[in-house]
Amino acid sequence: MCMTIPSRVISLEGDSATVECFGVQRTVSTLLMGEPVCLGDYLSVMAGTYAIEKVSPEVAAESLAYLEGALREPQAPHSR
Amino acid sequence: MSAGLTAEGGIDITVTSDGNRIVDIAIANSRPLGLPSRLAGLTPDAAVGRIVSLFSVCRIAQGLAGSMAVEQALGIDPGPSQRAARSLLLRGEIALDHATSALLVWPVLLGKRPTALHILKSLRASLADLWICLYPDGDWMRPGGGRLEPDNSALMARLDAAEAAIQEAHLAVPLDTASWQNWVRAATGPAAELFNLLEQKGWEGYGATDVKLLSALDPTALERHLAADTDASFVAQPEWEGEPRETGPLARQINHPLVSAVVAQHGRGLAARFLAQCVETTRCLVEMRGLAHEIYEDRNSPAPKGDGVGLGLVEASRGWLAHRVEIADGLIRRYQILAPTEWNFHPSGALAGGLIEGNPCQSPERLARLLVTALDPCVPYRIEMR
Repeated sequence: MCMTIPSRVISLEGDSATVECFGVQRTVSTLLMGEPVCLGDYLSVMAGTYAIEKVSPEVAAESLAYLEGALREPQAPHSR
Repeated sequence: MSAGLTAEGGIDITVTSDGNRIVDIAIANSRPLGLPSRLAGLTPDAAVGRIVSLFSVCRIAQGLAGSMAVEQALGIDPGPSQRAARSLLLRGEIALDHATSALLVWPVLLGKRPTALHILKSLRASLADLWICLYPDGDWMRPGGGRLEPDNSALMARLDAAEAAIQEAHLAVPLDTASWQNWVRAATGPAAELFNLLEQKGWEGYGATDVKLLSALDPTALERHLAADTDASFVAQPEWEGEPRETGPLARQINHPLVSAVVAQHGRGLAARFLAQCVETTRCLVEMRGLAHEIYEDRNSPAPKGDGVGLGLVEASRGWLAHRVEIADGLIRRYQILAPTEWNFHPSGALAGGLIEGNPCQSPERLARLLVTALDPCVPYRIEMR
């Protein structure tokens, strides 16, 4: 499942943004964004590397609230 | 894409060698597969809307699989025009997804930085929100069908721009064998450069495996598997007729003459899998133009009501994607998703089989990265060589 978690922009430098989500910070490229990115925006990040679109604060809040509960649940083991 | 694993989870691949050969492959999948179960209690419309906002990379496939599951549960037929519009949107997403991999990830496999980001940005501008040209209210995922009002001139302009971007990125692979060989030798663009690398290294057949292709899925049998999957073991490690299977572009394009010629020469390895993605990109753009002529205005349907059980099955970019819903008292009682990555990255599936059977003496990590990319997980992955 190609899930994307809305990540909030906490700093910007050139074509990169530092985003934060559930306490984890990462640097992503904004080169694929079709619109300007500002501090505080929520972004969808593709495969942990490239921001691809903005997410409205309302949708981001809904998604994060939903995900927070889901991600805290223990996952069934699926490895070998 | 290889990147740090985060809240989205990912695939951890551990390759153990005794110094001469690979002796074990361990694949750990930390994706939050229980996520859909939390859709219980929502209305069908709200559940599909939540799916679309959560899965923005393969939004069309996920939204349509959800919508189709609800429609089957409630006995709704969206009609031929909605089906054609959905097929068009799905093909646009597949073409964009394959092009994204070719332009962002394939250069890295070649030891280069991605340089065609401006082309990819242009392609995204054409295809990422293509529904705007068909569904002015943005309700393309609505069970029963959204308000369909095609803007044909805008749609054709988008398709023209997408084709131009694919051409500019040198991803428009010729579909006959002789032209394709010349195109590879010209080595212009990341796709041809990648095929050249495989040829020079003799890696075309690397990653071939006995794991069978999942070319067709019996929806009735799949529904039975999912209904009985109370511990989520099937959605975590799916098997068909007792065996892991490979799904995705190669399974879909295996009968294309160019793909079957490469398979005949090199087997179902790296070259065949990467070629299938290129062929599919080209075919999707052609097919979208044909589908555009089958779409006409259609009013949106009333909010779906009723109870039932339904399965939505779509061919997503990476392979079969299935959603199953149980609706009771007008609300979602159970929601399940079976995604293509779980087939291909099954602990005994196509990746594991390809790595073990390929068993390289040299460049094992690079070959592992090539094979992972060819099978294209939809989440970050990490490879550890031991």
